[in-house]
Amino acid sequence: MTSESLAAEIRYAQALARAAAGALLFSLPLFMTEEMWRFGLYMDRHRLALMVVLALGLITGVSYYSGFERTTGLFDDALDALAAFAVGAVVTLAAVVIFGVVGREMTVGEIAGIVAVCAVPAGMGAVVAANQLAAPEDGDDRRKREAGYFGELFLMGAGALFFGFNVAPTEEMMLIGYKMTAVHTVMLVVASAAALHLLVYSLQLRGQHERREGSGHMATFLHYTLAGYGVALGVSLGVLWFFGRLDGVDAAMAARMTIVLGLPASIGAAAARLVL
Amino acid sequence: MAGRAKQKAPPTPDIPILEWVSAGAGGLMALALLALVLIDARKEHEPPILKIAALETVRTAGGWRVMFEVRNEGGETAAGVHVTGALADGETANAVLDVVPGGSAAEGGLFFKSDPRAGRLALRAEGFVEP
Repeated sequence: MTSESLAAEIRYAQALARAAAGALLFSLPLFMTEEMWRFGLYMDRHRLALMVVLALGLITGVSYYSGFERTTGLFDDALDALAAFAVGAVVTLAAVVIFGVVGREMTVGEIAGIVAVCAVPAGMGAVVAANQLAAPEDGDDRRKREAGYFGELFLMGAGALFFGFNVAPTEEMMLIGYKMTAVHTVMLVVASAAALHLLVYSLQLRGQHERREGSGHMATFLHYTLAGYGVALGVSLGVLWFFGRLDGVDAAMAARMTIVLGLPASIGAAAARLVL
Repeated sequence: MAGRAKQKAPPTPDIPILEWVSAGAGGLMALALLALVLIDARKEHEPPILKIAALETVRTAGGWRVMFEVRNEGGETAAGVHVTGALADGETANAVLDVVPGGSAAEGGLFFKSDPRAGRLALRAEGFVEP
């Protein structure tokens, strides 16, 4: 092994260590949330399997735009995504074993369910935070800076999921939905869109977005705020469906829950460039 | 190892070996998790069948403590499992188990004033809800 390739191995090992730190940093609150264990046990198995597959795709996409090392192409990103998932699964397993959440009385299928559902945010945390924690020359956000409009929307969706996932499993999404009247719901929609717009616009001013000169509030609103809020609502609806929160619920209640989850999702979408 | 590496050189030589190893581990883990989850999905999903058994009876300060185990022989999870123990003299005690997953067991305890070993102790799981 040449010293150059040895250095590459060491760099990758450091990236993995950062990934593990990232998985902990971003997913520990979820490991400590009872609903996550419950979903691991009772969530519809086909939905859970689909969620893992989609998460791997999403992590690959996030790795493409930022990721924990400078990648050479989508194949390299897919490898990184699998590595991030491995880190997420190992960190999850360690956490739930230490917490006594999984024990010998459980079947392998149940343990697999808990690890699978927790490894989704942990894997995302691994790939995201590894980039955040990396020294500027180690991370990879070239493509993020050069992302086109669809890339931007993808990143917004990933940010929405990343931030929204923290609260999505909790029962409070339902409780808040029950408590809100129509007036509250409308106010929440306006507040979510306003928060999204302010964040996106202020990030633009900070130079995080390299946008054409003269793109004012209106253009930002149409291009990013409205589209971003749509993405956030779509992500919210999808996550609620995965967790079975929409089963047996009427359309009005489903809409209210989507709007409730839409608030953290919008903020995640707006901050995607900072967070991812 | 070196000979094999020569035969099957990785397509992109600048990818560190550790990346191959950890990606391989991740791929295996993802496949294993998917397989286990899907096998779990194919299992017969019969509603809960709860079998209850007394484990040990111990004298405590205020009376007697009977530990019991509820085993769910069905495929689906039972939540809020109400367990009642009744003695021959009419004394009853109740406990609620939050969750008894399918194919798994959960334990609890009941307290009685009089000695449960004196007469017949009837343990019964009265009902459950779906989680």
